[in-house]
Order: sequence, then C-alpha cells, then structure tokens
Amino acid sequence: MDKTGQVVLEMKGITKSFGAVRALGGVDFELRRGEVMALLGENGAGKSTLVKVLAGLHAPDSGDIRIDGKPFALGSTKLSHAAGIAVAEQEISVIGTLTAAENIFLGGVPFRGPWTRRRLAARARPYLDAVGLGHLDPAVPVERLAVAERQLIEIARLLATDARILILDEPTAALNDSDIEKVKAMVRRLADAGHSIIYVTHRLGEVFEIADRITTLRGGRSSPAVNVSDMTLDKVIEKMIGRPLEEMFPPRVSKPGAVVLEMRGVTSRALPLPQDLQVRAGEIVGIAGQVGSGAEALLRAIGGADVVESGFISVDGTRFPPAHSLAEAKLRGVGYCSSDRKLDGIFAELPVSANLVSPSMDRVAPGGIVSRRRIRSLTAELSGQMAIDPGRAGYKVGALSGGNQQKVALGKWLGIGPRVLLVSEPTRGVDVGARAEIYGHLRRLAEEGMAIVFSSSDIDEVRGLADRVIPMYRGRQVRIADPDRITSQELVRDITHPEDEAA
Amino acid sequence: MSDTAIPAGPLRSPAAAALARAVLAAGLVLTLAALGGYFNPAFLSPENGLAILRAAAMSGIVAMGATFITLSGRFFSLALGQTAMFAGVLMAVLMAWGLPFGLALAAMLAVIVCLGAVQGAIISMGANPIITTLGAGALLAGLAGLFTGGRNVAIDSAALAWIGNGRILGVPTQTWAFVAAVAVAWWVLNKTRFGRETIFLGANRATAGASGIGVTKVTVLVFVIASLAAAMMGVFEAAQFSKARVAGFGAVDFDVIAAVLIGGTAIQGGRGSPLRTALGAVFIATLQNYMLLLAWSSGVRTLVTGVFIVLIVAGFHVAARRKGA
Repeated sequence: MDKTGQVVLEMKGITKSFGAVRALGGVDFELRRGEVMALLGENGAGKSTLVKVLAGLHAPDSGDIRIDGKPFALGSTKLSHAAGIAVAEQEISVIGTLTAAENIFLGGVPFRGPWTRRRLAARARPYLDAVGLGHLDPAVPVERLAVAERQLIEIARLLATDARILILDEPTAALNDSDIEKVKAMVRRLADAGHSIIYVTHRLGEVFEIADRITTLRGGRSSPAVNVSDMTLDKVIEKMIGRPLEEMFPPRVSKPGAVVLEMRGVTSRALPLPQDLQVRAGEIVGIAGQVGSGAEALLRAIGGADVVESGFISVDGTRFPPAHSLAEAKLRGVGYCSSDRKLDGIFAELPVSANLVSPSMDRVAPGGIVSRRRIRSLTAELSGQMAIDPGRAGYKVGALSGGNQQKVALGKWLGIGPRVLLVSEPTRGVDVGARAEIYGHLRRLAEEGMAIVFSSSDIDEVRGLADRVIPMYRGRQVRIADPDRITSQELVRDITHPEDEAA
Repeated sequence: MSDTAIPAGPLRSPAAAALARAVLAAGLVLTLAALGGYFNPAFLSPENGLAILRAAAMSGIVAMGATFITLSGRFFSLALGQTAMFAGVLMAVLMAWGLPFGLALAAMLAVIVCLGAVQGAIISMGANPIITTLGAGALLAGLAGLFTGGRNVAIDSAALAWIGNGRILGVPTQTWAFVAAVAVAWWVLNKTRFGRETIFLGANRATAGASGIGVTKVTVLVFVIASLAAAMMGVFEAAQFSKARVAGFGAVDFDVIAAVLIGGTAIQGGRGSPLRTALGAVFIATLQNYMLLLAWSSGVRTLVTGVFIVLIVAGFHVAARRKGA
C-alpha cells in the first residue's frame, strides 16, 4: 500500500466557538489520498464539531482549508459537496420502504428521462459492488436488509455523490461482530481504491486493524497525526484523555458488606444461557461487552425491562415474583438506567424537578394528592446528592448538557431509596469532565451501601470503575476478574474473541 | 465544569411559557369579543354571553375529558360523540323500562365506565387509539340503533327536565356543569398523582414505564374519564329536549378535538392544560355565535371555523418549532 499519497485535504488552525464555548481551538488536520485516518477523542473533544465543519454544517471562525493544495472555503453543504466530501452520520439514515437503488440515489438521479426501476438498478450496481454488496438485488426494500447492510448502503450513497473524502462517524456503533468485519473490509477496500477516509470511532481496537494514521483531539485541540504502527493502545488512550487513565476514576474503597443482589440461573429471550450473579453492598460490578453480548440484557432482566423466563432474582434475600415488571423491581429497591437516556431515561420536555420525582410519586403524593412542598424538598435533596444546580429545577432536562442529563437520569432513582442501581453505559454522550464526576457519584453511592451493576462497551471505564469485572461474549460470562489483574488487551480479547472460542 | 457545555436551546422556564400561552389564548377570545361587539352590539349583551357559554358547555365538558387522553399521549378518541349519544339513549331506555332516574343514571354510568376501561385496556396493549375508538364509536352507534330501532326515545322525568332547562342564579345548569368540569379537571391534573402520571405518560411513555409508573392504569383511567365526560353531555342533551336522540352527535368529536388543539395541548402529549382547552371551546362557541348573529349560512360558518382552527394550530406548531430550533 502506498502510504505517501498526495495530500487531498489540509486544515490549519481551525477554530470554532459557540457563544463562550470554544469547541475547536486551533485544529490542524491532514488527509492523504488512499489512507484511512482515525479521528479519535473523548466525548466533547471536538470530533463532531470538526466533522460538521467538514460537512459544511458549521462554518469555521478562522483557519485555512486546502483541497488538493488549493485554498478552499468550506461553510455550506454545497461547498463540501463540491470539495468531494461526504459524511455518513452516526445514525443510519436510509429510508426503509425504498429500495437499495432508490436509497443510493436519494440525492438525485444520475440520468435524464424517465425513472424506471431497471435503469436505476443498473446505475446502482457499481456502487453496490464497491461496498461489497454486489450480491444484492438493487430492487430490494432496504427495511429487509440487516443493519450492517443498511450501513453499507448508506456508504454507497456517499460514493454515488462522487465523494473522494468519506467521513464515517462511528459506522460500527450499532453493529455486531460479524457485521463490523464487513464494514471494516469495505473501508479498507475503498481506501485501496483511492478514496480517503476519516474514520471516527470509540472502538480503539478497530483503529489498529484498519487505520493508517491517527489524529487525536482533546479539548478542541489536535495533536499531530501519528502512524498507527508507532502506537499502542495505552499511548492512544493517554493522548485522548491527556493524563494517565487512573486519575479519571475514584479510588476503590473495598469493604463489601452482605450480599444484596443475587441471581441464579436467570434466562430471558435475550439471554438464553442461564446467568448467575452476586453483588454485595458497597460493591460496583462492571459487565463489559459489546452490543448484543448480553451485558445490557443482564441488567434489563434484573430491572424488569425484559421478562425473566426462568431462574430467580432476589434483593436482600427476598425473591422477586416470576417474570417481574419494572414496577415490581422498583418496589424492591432496584433502579434501572438504560443505555439510551433519551429513549426511556428522561422526560426531555419536562423540568428537572418533575424528572427527579417521577419514580417517587408515593413520596410526593401521599394518598394520591400531590404536595408541592414535598416535590420541592425531594428535588432539593436529590439535586444536592447529584450536584445538580438547584437553580435549574424548572428547566427542561432536554436543554441540559449530556452530563447533567445523565445526573438527572441517575439521581431520580435515589428518591426510592434504592438497594441496587443498574446502569447501562453510564457515561454515553457525557463529556470528559462530567464523566469523572459521574464515576465519583457512583462510587459514593456504593460506599453508602448500595450494590451497583453497570454494563459498558468501554473497556477502560469497566476496568477503572468496577471492583469486579465480568466480560461477556455472546450471552456468556467469560470470567469474573479482578480489574487490577486483567489488562485492557485481555479484556478486549474476552469481549471480542475469547480464547476458548477461537475458531 | 460540565455546565459550560454548548447550550442546547433556550432555557426558558416552563411556567413562564405556559403563562404566555394562556395569555395568548385569552387575548384571542377578548379580541374576538371586542370586534364582535363593535360590529354588532347585541353580541356583547349578557344574555348572548350566557348563550355562548351554554353552547360552549356541551363540547367543552367532553373536551375536558378528552384533554386527558391527548395529554397522556394517546391522541384522541373518536368515540366520544357516540358515547354521549349512547349514554342518553341507554338512560332513556332504562327509564322507559321503569327504572327510577337515580338508578338508571347509576346503571348507565357503570356501563360507560366499563366501555372506557375496555377501550383504555385495548389501547394500552398497543392498539392504535384512533382505530380502537373509531371501532368503539361504530359499535355504540350500532347498539343504540338496535335498542331503539333508530327512533328517538322520549323521557318523562321532572328531575331530568330541570337538569336540561333549569337555571341557578340565572345561569343555565349546563354552564355550571362546564365550570365545575373545568375546575375538577384542573385539580385532578395538577394536584393528584394520577394527573402527574398522565403528563409523564404523554411526555415519554417509555421513560414512564421504566420509572415504574403504571402505564396501563393511567391509560385505562384517561379513557374512563373521557367517557364519563361524554356521558355527562349525553345526559344534558337528553334532558334538555326530554328525549334521547340517536343522531346529531356527528360533530361532537370534531368540536372536541378542535377545542383541545386550539387550547394548545400538544398533540403528541405531555403538554397542555384543561383551562386552555376550556378557552378553546369558548373561542369556537364565540366564533360560531357571532357568525349566527351575522346570519351567515352553515357552510360559511363551518368554513370559517375550519380556517381558524388550521391557522391557530399551525401557529402553535411554528412557535414550538422555533423554540426547539
């Protein structure tokens, strides 16, 4: 592979501010022909702002941009299109009821005259081939395809716009292992065919497999691109968070008490293999696993979001009724925060106070009659515990930052006096500063005697926060490990290809 | 530290926004009244004012109940007009069988509660509320036809005659009932746990479920409440003419939905208020009364009402979008 292709995109000293917030504070970026450039950084580091500048959705405040060595002003989607830049958004945006060919040409049909399915299919064929979907009937409705195939269709759509610079924003975030392989193979193939690819991802493992170089962003600033071959996982992480990993996480105060949560032989539709788990008071257990590994399904089963089909769960020795509901789990002191805050964690359109008291209507409405005084005092109590600005009690939660939203989603459970807190992806969509804060809150709650179980696809989060680590792979707990005795590499291997499953 | 992230939209307090909307709705009614009075002084007479309130009362009472359905995120019921009709017919039939007024009323209410509960239960299992209530409405129309052979049923009851035509302090009973319904609806929504849970359900059903709120219970209750409100209208209508009619309720659902929407209740739920729905009902009644005084034809009246509804609802939509941008 020719790694010394000419520079197709060069950015120097790009800045972009939103009000008082400086999202980009002088970013340099370089992209060569035929290379895969990984763009890494924590949430809030400026990745999405940089992507939006390239997409033409944000105009930069200052800085030079050159395309093929010539100065070029980005600032509208039209200009980005003219520069040959195309972006595949994080959320797959194909239209299910339309066919593969129709989706590829959503932006415009590449021929004059009547639009027939046959002509469209013929034109779509080369693009389908390019993304490795050559076997696909262009006339098949996209809703019948697998998620990974939809993702590939989305990328084929970018190719149909004659883009040379492709920006893929977390293309594998929603995919399972075998699908991820398809996308990675396609990325490599496109690069070898001369496309330049900016690959944004949180899965650092992927970077080492497909990227040529890495640009890291931190706090809106870039560090010079480095060759992947010169880097290790730990060096990349340190570049991203700007400090050794350990400082992110609160110290462990290991003095676990009695067993609070116990599950034996539990199965659900998403968890066909029986699961056992014991969590003691004061303990934080971290379940590591990718989407579909069963890590989140384990929490859903305990919390009552998924129906438990066999086995039993008990809290403080009291068994749950079979196939318990969310309300029954809550009654027994279990709070469950899903990984999708906006979907079922918060009422975005309602004020902070309404969100905080929502699981605790018994407390604020004794006898069914709401007491404003009780709402106020419970709001104050929970805001205080989670360090939520009490002045914002009346503001809509949807208008707060991701970190504050997450504090509300967690804090609302404290009103029921929980014994067990289940948190899926505790810091998804939360910026760096708030992440450390949320880790601190979880640790403090554990110290106060709660049993905490969280699931995460972020290896470092699991290692840094948990007292015990349980990697999961395809619905199986691979092992129970001491976080100090397992390396990130071992954990990554456990959740992707555990040794005893090597095929 | 984390508070300094990029601001995601304006941080206006919800209380201020609600007040602004209420002032807007009240202003609209007052403007219409002032204009009407200017062009036609009879419009502003106290007697006409009472007539307007009485006209607003009927669909207004039902709209109080319907507001709960919309607020809970279940859109609308298209069975409320037929429920009102069925309630009147059922009571008339029961009284014709010789049941005393009180007993007939109680029996009718029991049936209506069951009807609402069944619709709510079906919908909470995942059925589409529009389709479910459309079916329920057709069912009720069919049943009423079976009972009566399609003929109106006469009622002979002094108590009912008073309910239909009596006045307290010179104000028609219907108007008193409307005011009471508004007060009760406001109180239930703002002061009870059920009211709060209705808002939670409408704001985000998945979050409500995940927070351990009884989604089925709330859904059943909102349909029971709306059905009871419709039954109240049915009794008043039957009482006023001393007969239960099997036709003439076709426009009820439209008027009710219009009142809810003009009141600015969010069609997807979670935001709105019975007070504003009441203003919406009064607004429509005022508009229609004024056009009647001008002796406009019914076609023109319907057209103008429709135009107003579209303009106002579109206005709310634009305002909401601008705020969300």
